[in-house]
Amino acid sequence: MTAEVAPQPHAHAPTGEGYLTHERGLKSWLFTLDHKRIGLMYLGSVLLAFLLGGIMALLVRAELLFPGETLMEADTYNQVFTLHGAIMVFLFIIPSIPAALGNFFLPIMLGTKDVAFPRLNLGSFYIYCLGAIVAIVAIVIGHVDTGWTFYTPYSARADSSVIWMTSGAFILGFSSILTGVNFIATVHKMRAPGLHWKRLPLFIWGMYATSVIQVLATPVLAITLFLLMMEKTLTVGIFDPALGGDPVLFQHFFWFYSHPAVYIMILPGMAIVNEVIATFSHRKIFGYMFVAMSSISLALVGFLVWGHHMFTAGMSEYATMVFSALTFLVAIPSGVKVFNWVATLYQGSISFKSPMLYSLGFIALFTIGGLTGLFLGILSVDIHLHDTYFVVAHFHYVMVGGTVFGFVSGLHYWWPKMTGKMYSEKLARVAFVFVFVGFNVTFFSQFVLGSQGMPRRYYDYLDQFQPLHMTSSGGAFILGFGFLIMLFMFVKSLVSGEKAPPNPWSSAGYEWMTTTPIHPHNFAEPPVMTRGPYDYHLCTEEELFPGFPEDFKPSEKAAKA
Amino acid sequence: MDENNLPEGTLQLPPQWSTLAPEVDEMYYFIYWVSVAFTVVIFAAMIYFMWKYRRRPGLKAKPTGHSTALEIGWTFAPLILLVVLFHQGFTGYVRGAVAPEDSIEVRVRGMQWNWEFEHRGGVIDDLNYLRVPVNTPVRLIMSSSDVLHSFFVPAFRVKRDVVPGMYSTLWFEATQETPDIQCESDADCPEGLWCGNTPPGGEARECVLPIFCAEYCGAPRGITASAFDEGGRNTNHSTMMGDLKVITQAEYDEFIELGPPPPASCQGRDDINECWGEQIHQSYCVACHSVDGATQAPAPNWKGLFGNQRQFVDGSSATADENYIRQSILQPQSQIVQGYNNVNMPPFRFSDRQLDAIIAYMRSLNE
Amino acid sequence: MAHADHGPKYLAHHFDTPKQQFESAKLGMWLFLAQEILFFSGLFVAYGVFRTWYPESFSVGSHLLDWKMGALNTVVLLFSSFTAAMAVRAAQIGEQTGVPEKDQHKLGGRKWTSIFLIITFFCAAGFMVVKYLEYSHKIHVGTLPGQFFGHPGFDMASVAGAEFYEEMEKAGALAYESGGHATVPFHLRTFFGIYFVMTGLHGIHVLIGMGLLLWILKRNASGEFSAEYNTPVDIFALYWHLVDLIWIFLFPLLYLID
Repeated sequence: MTAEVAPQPHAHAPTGEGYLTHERGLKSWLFTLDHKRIGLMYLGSVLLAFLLGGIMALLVRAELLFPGETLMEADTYNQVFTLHGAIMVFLFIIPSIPAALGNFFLPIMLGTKDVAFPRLNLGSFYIYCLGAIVAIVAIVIGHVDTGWTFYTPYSARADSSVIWMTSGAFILGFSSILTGVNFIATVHKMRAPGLHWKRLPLFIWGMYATSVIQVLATPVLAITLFLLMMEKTLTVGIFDPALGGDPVLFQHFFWFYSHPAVYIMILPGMAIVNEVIATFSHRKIFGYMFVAMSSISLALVGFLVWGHHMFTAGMSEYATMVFSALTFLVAIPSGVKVFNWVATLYQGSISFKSPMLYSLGFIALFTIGGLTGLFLGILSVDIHLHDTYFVVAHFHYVMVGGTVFGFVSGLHYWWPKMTGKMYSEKLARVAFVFVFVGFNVTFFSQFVLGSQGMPRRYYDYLDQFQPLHMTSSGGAFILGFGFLIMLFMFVKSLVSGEKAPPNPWSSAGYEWMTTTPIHPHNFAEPPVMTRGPYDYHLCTEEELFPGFPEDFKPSEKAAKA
Repeated sequence: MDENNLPEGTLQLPPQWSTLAPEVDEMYYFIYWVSVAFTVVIFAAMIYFMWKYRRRPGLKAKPTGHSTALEIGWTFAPLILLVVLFHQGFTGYVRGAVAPEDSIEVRVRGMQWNWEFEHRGGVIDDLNYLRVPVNTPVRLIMSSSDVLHSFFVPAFRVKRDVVPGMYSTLWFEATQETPDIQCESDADCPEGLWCGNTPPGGEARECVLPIFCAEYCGAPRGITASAFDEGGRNTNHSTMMGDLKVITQAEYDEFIELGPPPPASCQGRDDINECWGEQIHQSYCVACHSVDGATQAPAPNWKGLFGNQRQFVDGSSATADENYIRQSILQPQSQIVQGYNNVNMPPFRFSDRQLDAIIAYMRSLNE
Repeated sequence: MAHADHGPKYLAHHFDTPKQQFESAKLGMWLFLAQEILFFSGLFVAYGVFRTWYPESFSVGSHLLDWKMGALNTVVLLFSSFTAAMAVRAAQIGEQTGVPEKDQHKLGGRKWTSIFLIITFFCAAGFMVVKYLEYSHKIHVGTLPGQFFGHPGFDMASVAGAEFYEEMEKAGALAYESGGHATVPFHLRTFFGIYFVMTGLHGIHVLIGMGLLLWILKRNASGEFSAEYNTPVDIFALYWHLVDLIWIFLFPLLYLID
């Protein structure tokens, strides 16, 4: 590795076999140490969880079409919204981007063969599966109606299947921690020659910041859930006031994890948007270093603001003041990102392919989600809005409008590289319209519901809220329909999609330099990075060529001209 | 009470009924317009760039430049706005957190899934019914006997969690009386009011301000909880609602002196006390005391109790007369009947009129 | 997949150099230790909060623990940390080929690695035996967490006997009311809740460490480690030092502070 070798675009693997086909059979998947295959297995699992959580969401919205008991009784409703929250948070959003897409692309974008600890990586996946199974056992055999937050003393006294559910979340936490450990070590130690920190793709920066939170915050959730289990079995009396415990302490513990967890969810979404915006504008992200550092500072500030979930819970005025002040700091790095994304569009060459549509959607929705966060940071206003639909709408704008749009954007963006197949751009755009419109109808109406005073987690409500609830439910079904179109489009692509060229989007990103299908070792020859991942002005025409290498004969073209 | 002069809400916020509300709303709309401004600027820039720099033949992206000044600018400029927002929000919060010295106090007890209100002098109001005087600061001292609840009155812009094992407080000053309107459904009520809980006697409901429970507190297992339960008791988190009635100072003083008046459905009847007593039993006692002489219940059955000879755990005995009943309600632990030493009945501080009604009801059970 | 040209056998295919592999492993372990510390930090925070709220219960609680047992365990664990460090040293020195037996580095090589690991293992086992004695005594007497406090054997039907009150008396926990009823501070049950959770979780870490020890021992016996490659021994020792470190905090907090 002495001479500076330029990356070899579109080189074929020596055997010609991609990672999907070079080994066959169930065993080659179940025992694989290949981060790409593990990433795909994660992808399948999280999509399944998304489907399950989505069905729960539609059940919730169906019940809320009309006031009074329509579809299910209060008790059933409570279980359904608990499962919606728990499944979406623990089984879908947290692992969605890091564990599935991150696993797949992090090593490729670092120009290395695999993550630092491939065996640990497979272990994380099986820990995830175990956690998911335990959680599903809790759903099937039990009666989990605590809300995904497991607030004490309700959870301490609720059905014993809550122990199963918390065990599930506890186990899933370790899957997340180990993935984080793996990624940090990989980023530090496995970068290809020439890939110094200032050239690191912003997706990697985002994954890195996410991993730091996963390693430092998740253990606190683990111990909190562990203590809750001890509360229910040994009655240790830390959280249950009947035994001298303090329920507010549980909230402190819980949010010390779960607020940073919000950044575990959103940072990867932002990370993908960086890649997509750069590719489809053919430009380096404006203010690269500021964007990278804003991820890191979000990760760090995220640790200091957990108290803003508890402004009405009975903290001292002093603590309330400090948490409110710190909370506003979060707005700054978030704002920096949005401003830089918009500035990137300036003087670019913007192509509106479906991944770009979702990323632009992300910027719009995240802007709304972020600004409504300011309402909740202002103490006097938060008192009115806390625990109402305003909060529900706010975090759905950030989590769905942010993370899910980012995830879907990444899925569209990398789909050709992962599967080797193209999809129908037309169907993808139709799905986007449904998803975007449906999402806004669903959740914008909830902002108004919340500021009017509609509390969360109600299966029944006053008549005056009915029109808005109905609008919201209608939007939810449009949203669900959009996702169905998307599902159909991806399945169709797998079955009968055209063969994907190595670089369909003319991207300068490192992951597009390898062949499609991807070589089992990611690159046929270990690459040396001679330019940054967004240096479009340094790319040769050949590197940015969107078609198949065999169709491309630069010399002939030159001769013709 | 002038029904045509009630406060009105806006598209986003419910009507203002407290002294705190205008300030909160002003802040709300300030940040709302700031957000609208940001959104418009960002979206406009995005859309303009998207159109101007759409990919087309002959257009090549320019390499990204760098502007430290711009980066520093949009990192720190918002900080000024944020400091203003924080300061305004915090001062508003402090005003809402510290009750004026001349506040009257009301004890609030949250329990799955009802609110109980105890006024000065130990006057217990009807379950889920809170009366407060207009133009007087009221401080609520709240506790919970089971799980977390949260006391939320949108019209006052106040909310506070009710936590087992500690007291939490909240204050407000209502600016206007609630009108006296009878109703069948929420649609009959002016904006911001709801058609309150059905009283235990099943009489007509009235328009009142809603009190919500904003912290999730569950539902009973496997029991179908109809929207608003008959008998005046609520049965799950989403129906844990209270009626808030703002009345004049004179009406409040009378209420404190005499306790809650007999329910409308009993008034004018010959057996007004028995009728009222039955309703109090329905609200407060039915969970432990049955009245049919047959049902097994954790505490003594009321049928045939009055006038009966009572054997106590300490060996003594007494006849169940008016004084015995009164003492058993006000100080239940003072004389424990044999066989019930594991029942921990809490003391109930009813007004004299309410006690009379309970006793009359018990006597009527013997007939 | 064959990697004939790749490097030594122990070098995994995705690493370029043994140094890279070693540094990655070490970094990974340090990150894992960071999460371990945060995992336990939740318990330390809970301890701090409840100690501040109920100082008298915690003071009495510390008297109810046998500091001699705790001290013994501290010594045992500290010694085992030392032997773990010696095992790493022995593994790093490795066998020096071509050097006669008597000129080899003292306490180095595969044999000594195994010996030190075995000593470490027995120290860990000794620690667990002492822990077992302490636990069984508490279960027998009834100094248990939460609702089980005063109910020996975690059996709600059983009632604390003379032993329980003797211990309470000795620790100065009993207060006599006017009626002659003896009471103990209510939050002693919380103290024991925290005691059992903290020491229990630490104990689980010791057990996991013992499992890892056996595995490392087996790999050492099969000659996998050498002066060039001894990463597993090294990172196991890191883990073991952390387990030791946590105990060094637990011991004074639970047993000693009045």
